[in-house]
Amino acid sequence: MVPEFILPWLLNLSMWIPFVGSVLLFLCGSPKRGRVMAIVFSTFSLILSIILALQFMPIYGASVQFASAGATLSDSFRLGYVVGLDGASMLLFAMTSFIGWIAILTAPKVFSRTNNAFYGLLLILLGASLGVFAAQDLFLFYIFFELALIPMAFLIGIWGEEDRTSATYGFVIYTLVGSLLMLVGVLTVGFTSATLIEGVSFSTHFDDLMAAAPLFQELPFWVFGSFLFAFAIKIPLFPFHSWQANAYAQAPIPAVLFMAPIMVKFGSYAIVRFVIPYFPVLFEAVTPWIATLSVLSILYGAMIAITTTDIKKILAFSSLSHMGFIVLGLVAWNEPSIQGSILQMVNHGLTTAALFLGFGYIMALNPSRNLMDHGGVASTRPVLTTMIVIASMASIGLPGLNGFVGEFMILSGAFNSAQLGSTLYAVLAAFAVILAAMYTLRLLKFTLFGTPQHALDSEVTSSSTLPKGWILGLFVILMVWIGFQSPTFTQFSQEWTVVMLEHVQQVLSDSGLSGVSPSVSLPSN
Amino acid sequence: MTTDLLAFLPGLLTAVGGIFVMMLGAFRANKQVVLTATLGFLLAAFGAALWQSSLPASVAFTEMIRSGSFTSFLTAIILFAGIVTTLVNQEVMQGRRAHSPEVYAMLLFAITGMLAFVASNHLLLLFVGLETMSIALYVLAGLYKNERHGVEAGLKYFILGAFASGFLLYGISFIYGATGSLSFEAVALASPEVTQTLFFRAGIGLMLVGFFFKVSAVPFHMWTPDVYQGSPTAMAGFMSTASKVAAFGAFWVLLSPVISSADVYTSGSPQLSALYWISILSMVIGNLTSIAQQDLKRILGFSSIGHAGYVLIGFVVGTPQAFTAMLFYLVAYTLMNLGAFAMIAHFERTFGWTDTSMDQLKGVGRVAPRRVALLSLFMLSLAGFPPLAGFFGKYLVFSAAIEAGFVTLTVIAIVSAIVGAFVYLRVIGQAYFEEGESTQPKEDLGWGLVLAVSILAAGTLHFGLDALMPWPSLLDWISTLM
Repeated sequence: MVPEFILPWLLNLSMWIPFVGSVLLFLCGSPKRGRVMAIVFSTFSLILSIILALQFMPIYGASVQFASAGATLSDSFRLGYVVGLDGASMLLFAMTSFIGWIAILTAPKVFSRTNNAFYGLLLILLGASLGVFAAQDLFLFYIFFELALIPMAFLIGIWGEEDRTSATYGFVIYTLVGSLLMLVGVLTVGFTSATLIEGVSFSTHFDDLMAAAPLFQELPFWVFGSFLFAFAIKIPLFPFHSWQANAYAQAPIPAVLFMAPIMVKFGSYAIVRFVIPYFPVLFEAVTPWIATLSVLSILYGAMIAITTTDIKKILAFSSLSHMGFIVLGLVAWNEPSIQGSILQMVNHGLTTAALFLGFGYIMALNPSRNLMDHGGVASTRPVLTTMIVIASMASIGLPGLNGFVGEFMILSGAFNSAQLGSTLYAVLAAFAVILAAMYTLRLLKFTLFGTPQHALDSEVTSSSTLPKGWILGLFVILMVWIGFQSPTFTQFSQEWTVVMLEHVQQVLSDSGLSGVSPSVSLPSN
Repeated sequence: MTTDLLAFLPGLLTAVGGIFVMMLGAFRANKQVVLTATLGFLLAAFGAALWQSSLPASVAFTEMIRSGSFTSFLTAIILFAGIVTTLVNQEVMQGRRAHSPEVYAMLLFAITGMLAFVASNHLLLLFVGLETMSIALYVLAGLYKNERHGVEAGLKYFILGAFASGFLLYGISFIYGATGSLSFEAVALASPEVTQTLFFRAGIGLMLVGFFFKVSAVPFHMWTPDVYQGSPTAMAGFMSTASKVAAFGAFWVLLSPVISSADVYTSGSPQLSALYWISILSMVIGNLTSIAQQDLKRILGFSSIGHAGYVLIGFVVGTPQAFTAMLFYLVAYTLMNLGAFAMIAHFERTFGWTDTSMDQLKGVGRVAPRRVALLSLFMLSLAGFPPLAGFFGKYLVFSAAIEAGFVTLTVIAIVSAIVGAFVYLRVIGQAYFEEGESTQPKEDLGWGLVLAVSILAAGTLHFGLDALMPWPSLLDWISTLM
């Protein structure tokens, strides 16, 4: 197979190839060649990350694999380029390069005004998103986290729909408020962690921070709060979600394919990757609050989705609802629920991407975001309809598909969670599954079925240039695969979750606050 | 004598250059000759500054002038700003009055004043340097003497600047009264009995007024947007960067021993708390007021007030880390602000803008996407987005402040940075997101502008990743300057 020493290079390559590609695209004049180049670069990145996923050793999932380090600022200032993948990030990394590849590949089908700059920005977005999941240094994470904002702002602002300007400002300012305040938190934990290390005055390496976690419990609440606030906006968690629907609605579909499946995961990944391990005592203290907010997100998102007529907004609010599940799994804080959350991050990425892409095709045929302007797609486009229906079923949580596995693990974890202390959260969240069925079926009913609303639709159907939706088959394969073979995917995060919970337990008992055991696990799963 | 002259070599070169260029103007020399001479003298002075940076620190001219790595560093930044301004100005001002030989002579004189200012080791030379710089800048600000805004800029800058100089001189006289000496050492080493006197404190306070005026810190900032708006754009860029670098550098040398000495900290120095509040006010008012602005140069004027506030954090914190952060921030600010002004100057010319209101930018992103991309790069850096130089500068300042325990100050700085980010984003949004009937650009970027802007853009990108580069970083170099 692949020699060991090459693997870190493959990781670096798969992250940096998109950036190199974007620079070449900005310099390249020809639009036709530009598109081919973008596809080549993202394909290359995808292949490399598939190789990495195959080479990843789940039994050592708790430790960082494919690690490589570049320069650090100085001997006493340990911040710098450290990348690698572990059990929490491997699948998200692979998912990001897959969805990014799909977004670039399908861009001209769902969006007509693509040019080289558009692809260049998509590639920067891809590279930055991969960087977020690969970073093993909090400062580096922060840089990629912020960097992803810039291309997204341009993508919405330049290529967005009629109300793009306000959507852009809302998205950027909202995210920026959270992340810049987080910078104070990053600096504080960096200085705090360095007190443990001889001759170092600042360190944001994940390893150093993990070792210093007991010290962080003594820090003032706002340090923890600054992280939580930034990620609550990014996820988004009710009531910090108001940027979301407008941004999704105004952004072009290829950009939404990054925003909805990938960028919102930055927040939930960050919470499980470092907010819980670094601040277990404080996180335990706010558990009821976050659990309440996540249940509110689930219910609120679902109920708004039922009443909205804008297709992209329905999908946005359903995303809000589903992200609430993921956060609930994180606060429930035991092995099945955290594993379920990590898996559900991938599931949600796949289903949302498939749905946005599928409806992107439909809206490319008949350019209206209003549900009522569509209808009867099933009669003319059977393949596309089938794929969308399967993806919708996965989103609802039909057994046999991926969404079921994740939601089941989260709900069972939440039901038995000692941390939450009440089954009420899980009961309310489970109720939302019914609401999910309502809004999803309503969406399908008005768009796919019924009488064709658009005369044009039947005319152009025969044209071979229009997408038939076969590409969605890739998503369906993955959905079924995860649905039937979930251990193949949960094994990635298994070891990582166990070790993380042990670490959390350790910190909690050191600080004398081990009232409840967070690692109550189900007998089997 | 020779060592004395060598210690001030860059300043002498620019002074001689200024006179030479003025003579060229008198003899109606060709524009290319003037330009070559200006650039030649500036580059020679730049080389001299680099050469000096390797020499040990020394004093010259009966201890009136200092030389050393710190002075050379500031000198190099100022000369760099001068070179860039010359390149930009010759490009965007062709055929206009702002391209005549006298303008380049004035630029060289202003630089000479700045170099004397940053090299001064004596309060009188400090004043002479400051005035040489200021008088030349008054002329440069009022170059558009037939336009209302131009006259307003020149006159406003002159009248207010003269007042500020008066305050400074008054302060100097107080210091002389208190310590009996005008040398920096005497001020720095003044005994606690002296520094506690009202005379001394009032002297420092009055000098601070002059300083705050030059760096346009609130509440001495009102001239800034008007002057930037009325000045030729390239000159506004020069004023907003080089003169601020000079003022921050010179006053750091003079004031940091006074305001950060241990006894002052323990006794709750009024100067320090004044700096604290002025830093906060500059950041908040500079960024907040810029929201309401409709003119690009006024936006940059208010933003430069905000940036002065960030640099002042370095003064307030006063640790070696803060010093490094401050200098790095000044470098980053020089690069990105010069870049922003250069691009605006270019748009002004190539699209034939009659003013620099933000509406002019509408639709420009569609006809000249790459040029707007450059402007966006500088704007994003000013806004403090990673991985650009402006972000890393802010990061260093904030980290120094957090390390020293100034959390409130940092949070206020960050909140005002968010407000500022909105403003910069709005500029980008005008150019890219809004539809407009902008015509095709009349001309391409010329060689001078390409050279200048690519150096600035490369610097903005490179210094953002300064820490991650495999070769020795700017930061390492700066930290040896203390």
